[in-house]
Amino acid sequence: MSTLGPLHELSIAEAGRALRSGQVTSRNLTEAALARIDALDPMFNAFVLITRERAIVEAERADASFASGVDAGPLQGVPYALKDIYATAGVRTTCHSNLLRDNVPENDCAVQEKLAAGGGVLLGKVGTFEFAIGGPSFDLPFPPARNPWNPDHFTGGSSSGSAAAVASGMLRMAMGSDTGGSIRGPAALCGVVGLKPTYGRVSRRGVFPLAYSLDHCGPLTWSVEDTALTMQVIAGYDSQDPASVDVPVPDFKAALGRNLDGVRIGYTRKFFIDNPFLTAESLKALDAAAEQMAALGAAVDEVDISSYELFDACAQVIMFAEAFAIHEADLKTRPYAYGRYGYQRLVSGAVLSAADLVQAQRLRRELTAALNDGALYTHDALLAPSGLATAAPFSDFGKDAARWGGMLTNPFNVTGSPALALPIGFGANGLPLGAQIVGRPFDEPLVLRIGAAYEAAAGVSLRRPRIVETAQPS
Amino acid sequence: MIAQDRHSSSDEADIERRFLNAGVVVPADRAEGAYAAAVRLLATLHWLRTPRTAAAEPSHIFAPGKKRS
Repeated sequence: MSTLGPLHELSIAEAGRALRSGQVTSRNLTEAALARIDALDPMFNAFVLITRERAIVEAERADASFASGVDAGPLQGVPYALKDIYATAGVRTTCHSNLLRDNVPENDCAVQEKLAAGGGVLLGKVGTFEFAIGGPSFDLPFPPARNPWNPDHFTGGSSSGSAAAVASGMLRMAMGSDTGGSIRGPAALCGVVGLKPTYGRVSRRGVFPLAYSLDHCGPLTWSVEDTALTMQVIAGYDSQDPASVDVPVPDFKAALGRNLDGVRIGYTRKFFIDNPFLTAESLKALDAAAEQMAALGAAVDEVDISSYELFDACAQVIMFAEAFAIHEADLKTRPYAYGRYGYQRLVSGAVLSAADLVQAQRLRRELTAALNDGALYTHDALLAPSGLATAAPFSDFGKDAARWGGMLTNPFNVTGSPALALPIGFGANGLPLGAQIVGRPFDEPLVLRIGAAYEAAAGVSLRRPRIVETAQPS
Repeated sequence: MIAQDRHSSSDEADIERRFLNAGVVVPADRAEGAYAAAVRLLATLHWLRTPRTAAAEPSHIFAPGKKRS
């Protein structure tokens, strides 16, 4: 065992090799992860429920499968967690809200079905913003997750517990969801990898919606390879998700390890250069990432895409209109069942008109066509910021809901494009900075190839937070 | 990094009317933040209303890629 080093530092691929060679058991991995959760979660509040006994049973089942020659794939025996909007049969699923604090679903969501069939070990449910939108709130059933790089700072949201759990090494993979950046934002602010797959690539069946036509399910992991391995298990057509697309599932790992010769990457510098939230250190890191990709063989040049204001208007109107429709009855009849931030944000959708929504949908189609027929026609992928700054401290958030302006992620929810967030450096305060690689629809393999090549060359992902286990947030 | 929101009393009257039209009564102790969120949202609407020609009107809704022929 000692030759493996700390078990929490094993990548999913390394853990898989160790499991298959008998160097480690799933029970070993699971117990180590549970011990790390016990030690660290009081600081970071990543988990809202730990399924300890179930995890041990699942780990022993995975070990028995290995012993009998059954191999269900790359996640067999590997611990993971689910954002608490993913329905889990017999396991409480709260959406981090008092409204659903006693909700125990009868059925698993599609992703959990796939992860279970793949032999994964569910460690529990991780926190979110209320209904994946509220904010880092202190008036909910569970406290907000804290950033492992500095627990006085928030994680971004809404896949906040997923990012905190992965960044702190409690586990290697946690599922998140992304309606306007809720995978890529926390990934950027916590220094981990997060993939928003193409709209329709991963089933949302059984995942509580924020906005039907913008929601995506995807993983947060330590490395691009871990993301690729997870995608191999969770991707695929689901006839019960109306947005699911029946396209072949590629080998997501096949192109990893290749350089970027022949890859055309458009750097969307004009898209964000005038954004008031852009910090000099973010711009420097993004420019350096573009140079690094060029050094790896890619043809990198600047490219124009539609203005952020157009994308943002489209995303905001569709998201809040759809979200209000989902929550309308409860918002009207029991407003105090929601936390303050969640209520204030969700109810704002009530002020929109039917015409506003149609205008947004019309613009959405135009923006999507412009991107796919423009920058993503002349280029194979785009480089853009995922965050424009490092994570804000909790003290920046007031008593009322506000918009944190540091993200530029929702354009690719509008277009449904695959987008991979990955760390590209650190601010002067020691907190991570992030970029995203955006691809053509269903071209996750190229997005992952670019991410993996950059990751290996830049080495940013190898740097992990130095966690002082006795530290407490102020 | 927190966006600052300012709005006028005329904004508030318009927003109150919109909430009432939707059948929503915002509790007084949550009104400030709810109204600010509504102001932020309404401020985006002008971006949606660019002039279009008849030929530019799409006849179908969003799809992430091109449909197979």
